[in-house]
Amino acid sequence: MSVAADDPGAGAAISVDVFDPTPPYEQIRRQIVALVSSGALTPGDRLPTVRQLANDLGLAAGTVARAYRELEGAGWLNTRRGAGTRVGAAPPRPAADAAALRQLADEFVRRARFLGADDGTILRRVTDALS
Amino acid sequence: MLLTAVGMVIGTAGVGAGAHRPRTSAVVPLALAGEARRVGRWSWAGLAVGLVAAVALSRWDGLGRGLLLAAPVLGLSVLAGTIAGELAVTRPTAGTRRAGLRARQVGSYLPRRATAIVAAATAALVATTAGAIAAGSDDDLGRAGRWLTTSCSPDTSSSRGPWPGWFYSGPLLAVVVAGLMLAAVALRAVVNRPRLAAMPAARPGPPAGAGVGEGGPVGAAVVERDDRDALALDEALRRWSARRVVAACAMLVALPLLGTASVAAVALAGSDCLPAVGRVAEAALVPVAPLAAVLLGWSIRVLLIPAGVRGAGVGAGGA
Repeated sequence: MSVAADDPGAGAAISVDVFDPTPPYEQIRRQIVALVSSGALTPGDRLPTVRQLANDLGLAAGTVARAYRELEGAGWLNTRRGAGTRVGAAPPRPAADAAALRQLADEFVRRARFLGADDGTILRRVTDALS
Repeated sequence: MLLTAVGMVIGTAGVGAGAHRPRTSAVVPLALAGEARRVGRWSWAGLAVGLVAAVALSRWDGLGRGLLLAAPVLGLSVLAGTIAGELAVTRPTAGTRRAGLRARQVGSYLPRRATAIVAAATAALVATTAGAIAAGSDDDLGRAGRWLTTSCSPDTSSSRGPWPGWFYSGPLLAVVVAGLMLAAVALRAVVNRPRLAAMPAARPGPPAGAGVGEGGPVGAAVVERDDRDALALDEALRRWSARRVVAACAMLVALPLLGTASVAAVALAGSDCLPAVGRVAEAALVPVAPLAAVLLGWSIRVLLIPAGVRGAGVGAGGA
C-alpha cells in the first residue's frame, strides 16, 4: 500500500461511492479540497479534463463539471482555455470546524484543571500560546 | 526500385524509427486482461477489414487510382478499429470507483521520433502533390492533371504521363485529410477512454464520502497495489494504441508518397525540354521513395506487434 502522492507513476487519486448519501460531485469536491489542503496537490498542478475524470469514474460529465465549477468559484481551481484546469495559486484555507475546535478547547481545559491550574492561569497560558 | 525495396526491408526490420515490442506483458487479473484484449481485437479487426478493402480497391480503376488509395484506406480502417477498441472499454459500474488526478495528454503517449518522421512525410506528400497539381495538364481525354506538358518552343510541346496531378492527387488528398482527422479523433479516444480499473469487489474500501472530509485524512489518495498494476497495464495499452495510430498515419502517407514521388520522378526524367526547376524537383524526388519505403516498413512492423497482454493463469497470447 502506498500513498498515491508519493508515487510519481500513480499521482493523487480520488474515489467515489455512488451508494453514499453524499452526492458524487460533493465527494469529488471534498477530496480535491483535502488533497490540496494536505499538499498532495500543489498550486499549478494540472487536473484531468472533465471528460477524462468523468469517464474514469463512470459518472456523467455534468457531475464532474459541477464539482470543478464549485471549486473554481471558491478559488481552489483555475480553468483557462488551452491551459486546462489547475490548482489555484493561493487556495483558500479551509474554514475551521467549530465543533472540532470546541472539542479541542474542552479537552485542553479539562487536562489543565487536572494538572491543578485555575481559570486565570489557563487563560494566561492560552494568551501566551496565541502570541 | 532496388533502393526502395531495400528501404522497406530496413523499415520492417525496425531500424527505421524505433519500433519495439511494448512492455505490456505483465500477468494481470483475467477481467483486466479481457478488457485489454478487447481493445486489441478491435484494432486487429480494423487491420483485417482494411486489408480486404485495400485489396478490393487496388483492383478498381485501371489507371492506378485504386492502387494509390489502397494503403490510405488500410490506414483509415486501422484508425477506425482503434477508435472502436478504445470506445469498447467499459465504464466503471462498481459502487466505489477510483480515478487518478493526473491529466493525461496525447503527447505523453506518442512515440516522439516516429511522430516527427510521419509529420515530415505528411509535409513531403502535401508539397509533392501540390507541386504536381500545379504542374499537371489535361491528358488527351481531358482528365485533369494526368499529364506533364513542357514547352520546347512556342510551337512545340512535349507531354508525358502518368503524372500525379489532380486526377490522382485530388482523391488522395481527400482520403489523407480524412485519415488525419480520424487520427486526431483516435488519439482523443486513447486519452479519454475510461482507465482499466482493478476489480473493487475484491477489496472493499471505506465509503468515499463519509471517510474524507475537508482537511481530514487523505484516505482516498491511497492507491492499492492491484490498482497500480491495473494502472501500469492501462498506460502501456494507451501507448500501444497511440503507436498504432502513428503507424496507421505512416501507412496513410508513406505508400502514396512513394507512389507519387516515383511516378513524378520518372515523368520528369523522361520529359524533353524540362526547365531548371523541373531538374531540381527531379533530384529532390529521387531519395523520397526509399525513405518513404523505410517508413512503410516501420508501419507494417508496428501494426503487426501484438499488445502482449496475458491474464493470470491463462496463457493467452497477443491481444
